[in-house]
Amino acid sequence: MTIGNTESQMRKGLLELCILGIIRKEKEAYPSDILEQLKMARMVVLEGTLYPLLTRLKNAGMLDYRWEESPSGPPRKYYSLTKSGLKFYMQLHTAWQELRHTIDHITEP
Amino acid sequence: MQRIIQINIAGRLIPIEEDAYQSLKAYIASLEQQFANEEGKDEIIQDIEYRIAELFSFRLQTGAPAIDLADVRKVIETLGPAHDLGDHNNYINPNVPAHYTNKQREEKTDTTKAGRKLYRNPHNRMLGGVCGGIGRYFDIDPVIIRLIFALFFIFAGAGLLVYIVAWIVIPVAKTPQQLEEMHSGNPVSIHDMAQNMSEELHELKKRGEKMSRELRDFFSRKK
Repeated sequence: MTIGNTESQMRKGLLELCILGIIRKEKEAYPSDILEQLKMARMVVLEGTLYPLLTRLKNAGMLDYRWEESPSGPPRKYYSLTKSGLKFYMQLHTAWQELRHTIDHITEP
Repeated sequence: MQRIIQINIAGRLIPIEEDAYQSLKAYIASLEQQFANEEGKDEIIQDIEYRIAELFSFRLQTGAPAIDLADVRKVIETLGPAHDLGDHNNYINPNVPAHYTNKQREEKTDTTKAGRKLYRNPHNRMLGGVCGGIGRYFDIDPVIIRLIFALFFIFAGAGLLVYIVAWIVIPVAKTPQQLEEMHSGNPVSIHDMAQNMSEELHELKKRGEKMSRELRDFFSRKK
């Protein structure tokens, strides 16, 4: 049992909330943008974990995307939240707020 | 000596050394295996290939003549080995939690039909958490409640007194369950309050009528 392991489990659990939050904030975001922000927040270590999550969220009707040409590389997939994606995000966000309060309370010295 | 070949990845032509190509091919094969049971397998692989193409493009823009084995190793390190990626037990399948949370939420509201409870909020407090608690109860920003209290205090002088009484009367939320109860019940709307009020008034009226009937009986018997 190591701190790093438990901590990364915590981060993994919150990854969906973060991804939806970033896309909501940016209105539209392509995976490398999302990765950039997640890395700055130390929320993701392996880039490859993002792609299956995005595809699953899209197949569950939470995300939509459109293609856009890029000046420097391959075309980019720009993701945006669908209506049910926004609702899902709001629910996750509330759940997180409640969880945070509860954990703060339990662990209060 | 290395042979350089051209590969097409995500619609881009990329010059790559032979052994680097073999390594990349093995990596993509391992991804295919990892996501074999995944509904969106092809799309996930495609997205990852797009990312690889993007990372290679960056590398070529810095002046590398071709992608070599070290570049491929770096890309694999950035993306993560296949067996670390498909661990879906660690991820919440979006289909499930959406459902799950909805159901949970329904159950929650069912058990708390009685409505919310008013507590002082120990996590949003200036003094005793009275305004924080009231705010959470009514879904209003506590700052607004504080402002109202402050205005009361300045113009009517009663705000402080009301606050102190509320501080004494309203219990502080001590357990996580109580914290939950502050917010988990049905939101209290003005409509509900008006309804409660009219029910109370109705009750009062009935009691008044009953009392006057009894009084009348009492006096008529006396006669």
